[in-house]
Amino acid sequence: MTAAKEFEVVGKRLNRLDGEGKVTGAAVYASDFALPGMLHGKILRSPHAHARIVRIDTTAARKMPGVRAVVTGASQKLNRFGNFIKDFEVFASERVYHVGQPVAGIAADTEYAAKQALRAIEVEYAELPAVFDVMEALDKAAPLVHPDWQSLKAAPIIVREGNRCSRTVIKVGDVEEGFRNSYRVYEHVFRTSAVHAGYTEPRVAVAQWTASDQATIWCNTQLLFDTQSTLAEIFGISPSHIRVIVPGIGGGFGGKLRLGMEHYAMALARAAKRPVRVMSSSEEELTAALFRQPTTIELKTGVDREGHILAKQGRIVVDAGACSGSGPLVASTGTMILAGPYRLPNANLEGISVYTNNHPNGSIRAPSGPMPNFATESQMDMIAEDLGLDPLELRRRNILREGDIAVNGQKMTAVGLEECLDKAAVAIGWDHRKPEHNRGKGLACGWWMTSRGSSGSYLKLMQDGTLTMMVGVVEMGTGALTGAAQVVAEEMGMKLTDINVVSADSLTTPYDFGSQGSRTMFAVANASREAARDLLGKMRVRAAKALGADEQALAMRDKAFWSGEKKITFAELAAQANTAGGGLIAEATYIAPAAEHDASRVQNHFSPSWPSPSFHVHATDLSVDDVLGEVTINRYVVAQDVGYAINPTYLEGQLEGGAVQGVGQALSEEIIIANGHVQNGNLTDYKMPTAMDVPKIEVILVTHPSVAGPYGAKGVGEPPTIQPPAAVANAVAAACGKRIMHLPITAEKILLG
Amino acid sequence: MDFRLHSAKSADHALEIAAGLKEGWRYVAGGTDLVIQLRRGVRKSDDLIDLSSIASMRGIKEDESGFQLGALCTHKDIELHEGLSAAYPALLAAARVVGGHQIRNVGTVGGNLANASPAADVAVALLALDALIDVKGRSGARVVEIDELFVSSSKTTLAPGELIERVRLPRLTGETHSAFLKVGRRKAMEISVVSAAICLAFGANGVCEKARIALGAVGPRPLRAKAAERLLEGAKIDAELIARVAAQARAECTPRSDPRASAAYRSQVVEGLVKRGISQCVRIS
Ligand SMILES: Cc1cc2nc3c(=O)[nH]c(=O)nc-3n(C[C@H](O)[C@H](O)[C@H](O)COP(=O)(O)OP(=O)(O)OC[C@H]3O[C@@H](n4cnc5c(N)ncnc54)[C@H](O)[C@@H]3O)c2cc1C
Repeated sequence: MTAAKEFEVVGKRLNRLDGEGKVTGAAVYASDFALPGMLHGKILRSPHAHARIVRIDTTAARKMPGVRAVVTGASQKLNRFGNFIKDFEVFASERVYHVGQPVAGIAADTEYAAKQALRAIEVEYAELPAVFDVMEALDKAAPLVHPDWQSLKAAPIIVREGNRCSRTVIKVGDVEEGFRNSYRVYEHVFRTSAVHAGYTEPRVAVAQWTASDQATIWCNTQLLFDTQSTLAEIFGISPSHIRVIVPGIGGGFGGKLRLGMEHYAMALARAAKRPVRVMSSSEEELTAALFRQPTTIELKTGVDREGHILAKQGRIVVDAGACSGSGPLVASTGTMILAGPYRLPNANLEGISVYTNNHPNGSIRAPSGPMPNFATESQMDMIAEDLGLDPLELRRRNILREGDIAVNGQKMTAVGLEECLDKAAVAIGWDHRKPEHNRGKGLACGWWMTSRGSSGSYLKLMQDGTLTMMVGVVEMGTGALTGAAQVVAEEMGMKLTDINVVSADSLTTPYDFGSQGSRTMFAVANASREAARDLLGKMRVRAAKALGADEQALAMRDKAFWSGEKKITFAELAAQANTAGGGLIAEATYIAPAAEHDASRVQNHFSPSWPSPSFHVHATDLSVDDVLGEVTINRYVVAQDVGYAINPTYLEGQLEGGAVQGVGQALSEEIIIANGHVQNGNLTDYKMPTAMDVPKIEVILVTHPSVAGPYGAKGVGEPPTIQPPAAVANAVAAACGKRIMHLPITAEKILLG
Repeated sequence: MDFRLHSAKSADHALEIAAGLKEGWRYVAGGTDLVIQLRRGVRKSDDLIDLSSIASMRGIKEDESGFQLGALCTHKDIELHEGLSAAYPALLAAARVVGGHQIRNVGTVGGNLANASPAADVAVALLALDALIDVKGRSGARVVEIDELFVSSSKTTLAPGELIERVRLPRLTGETHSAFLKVGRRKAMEISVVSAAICLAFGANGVCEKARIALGAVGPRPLRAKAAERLLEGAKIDAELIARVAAQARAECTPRSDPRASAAYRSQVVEGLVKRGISQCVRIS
């Protein structure tokens, strides 16, 4: 597929359809959106990690200048919500169970007035015992974060016990036997910290009730339809009575998958009978957003003399925070990352998510990727070192190759891992792993999936001969919709700029699983391509009739159908169809086929099959300052099996950006939490890397086409954030001999650890 | 954040406005420290006196005695002034690592000093360079030696109402070398976890005649490691002495643990920075 046919539009470095507006500033984002008469909402948050609310008095606040509405848990009956367990409340009713939990909201004429009025709300709390450490939370004697956990509605796949809110297991063979046969057995514990998604635009929503049971929300969610159904559930109204529109989104990275400000805006707008806008401040972002879950990972691996893995036992313990959120999913998928892209004859891998009185966490780009990858890939290097083997060679002896059976029993196809490994090693100059004192190189392997979920696409041929494509996802800035449009243009024999994309309106666009899971371009392009084929068929029928020719004999070129010298253009076809034929439209839906796996190996697993898996290797060359502990990355190489590059430019952008995000998590980013209180809740002390901290990311595209993907493409967006922590940890160890087992790898840990 | 902004046309005008206001007012120059403090509620002010349009407090002048920096000089002004940055490498090194370009374009020298953060980069460099501070108050003008300016975190010896008009840097004579080094979690937009400014003057025989070791974020104020300085003065510097001086400097610090770093890390790193800073000055000489 790679070398075969020359394509006109796919595979080309074409400019993004949304590029000009975003570059010039003309593009409208959700935070730009305003309505006449709009009020501004602010949220009062709990100062306690666990407390009973004794009394809330809003009388004084209601009298403050400009205040139009005050909402508390008692003033509006709102239903609980949550991805898998209904353990979130919009406003706390009787108890608060984490610092930053919303207790009340105020809508006022200005943001300033709302903020001032927050101070006039009196809340009396009676503090309760709290638990912050996942391991302590698992103890039978620990205070229960949700004493009523048994009465909270949960999805059937969820297995709960007190503070443990889920458990997933993958089991293959007999690990005990494997360990007994091992030449060496290694046991380590790794830990990772909470990090913020790092989107530029804070979460924002404007809500307007258009009838007593109908509302429209303009916000910056990544998931239109999940937002729609969750809001419907909270407010007890029909989902189709809630219209969700994303005018534009300034980055998401998973941090905007679940409700941000939408429910607060809706509750306040209902009380105030006016449109209300709520936007989180940067301090709220860094203290009360859905952070990537911190984890504790126990890993035990047995190998033979040659370094072949004989058995792997591990447990990833996910700190879900006070509400489970995506914790169960992350713990579950984490087991696959713990396994890694390796042949494992025996494995017993467990993922659990645990309630604590920390702020609820969520899913960030490759939600369960970097943490277990850090553990697994760090341990691979530790094993190599102990066995006196080259870490590259150790991986070569264990990696999955074409036709191998992965830990979930799935037969692997289109496996580009070895090629990634080889190319990354060559690019980084692996033969000189320690080029000088305090300088070293490290690498890490990884795999990920292309998430499933439905996509739909409506197409209509326009009278000017262009095509309008309506899809229910949000262009998050990845270029996914330009990629999908390139696929449609290729199919239609059009130019990319002939495709008009309409998206991100739950009322007018077809259902879509949303902008997540490395699947947006993949699924939307597949659905749209199918629709394009259907549309072309209809166009061909009309063209044949118009030209008095046989359908099969028609040639298609230059946006026209030809029969010999006679032609009818797409524009003419559309005009004709509109006036005399009802118009030319088509639609199609797509869901990726599930990959076959061995169900007997998994228990309560959320994603036991890995559709269109992708493979990746990162390699870095860095220096460690032995006096200060500071790390300087000299070079960074990403080799990723992307299947096929629909638009190499934006693909490279994804890999570069993802690696940078991963380097942040590796070296500097961490939400520091003490007793449930964030210690660095501002952009001075939350350290995302700057342009000075990251080198040029060198990207190598490896293409082992996926059968299911459009033109062979695989999901690409999440994977590049997975490997940086491990690659950096391994390079640090190579450079200075220090093995850091707790992210981030700060200078302090290197120097004193 | 809610305040009245008063624009001052001259230093005297600023003093006059100040005299007419109730307590709790503040001067504001670039606002890069103050606005954040007001927003976070660390500080409250009903009245701000804006110094930024006082022409006499801008610009960098040079005469026989040395350089004069208006208090409103931005970090970028320092970075771009060739004569100044050539004469005082430590000052250049400090100015160019303050925040990012945007902060350096608005943040001022006067603000960096008056805010009196123990981590203030330019303040630490100026401390090593024996800067003199021209201060003006209702009762007249006076000169403050920089080492006399800082009391503790956000506290100076400026009397109520006094403002910093300019900073004077004495001309360095003979073989003098300076260096500034900073440690943080990232390479830009970073408040120093530890910083060190070193200034060493050498005699013709290569003996160190005068030494200044100024340290940031390792005590309640930008501090001088005076005992360590004395070890250098009158000595020929070698590796063994550098190690002793660095250890002594470390002993003179009282770092704290905070979310940015632990006291233990600061202690260890300050020793490393002093060593490196002295070595840099010695290598050049
Ligand atoms: C993102 C960011 C990054 C930063 N990074 C650094 C850094 O790396 N290193 C560093 O040292 N600092 C840093 N800072 C802090 C700040 O930018 C500097 O301290 C700057 O020099 C302050 O100057 P200013 O003019 O903005 O002060 P302002 O905020 O205007 O004033 C600060 C204080 O000084 C007083 N004041 C100002 N001028 C005078 C005067 N002439 N006389 C008397 N009192 C006066 C004010 O009343 C106020 O109390 C950073 C700030 C930000 C926001």
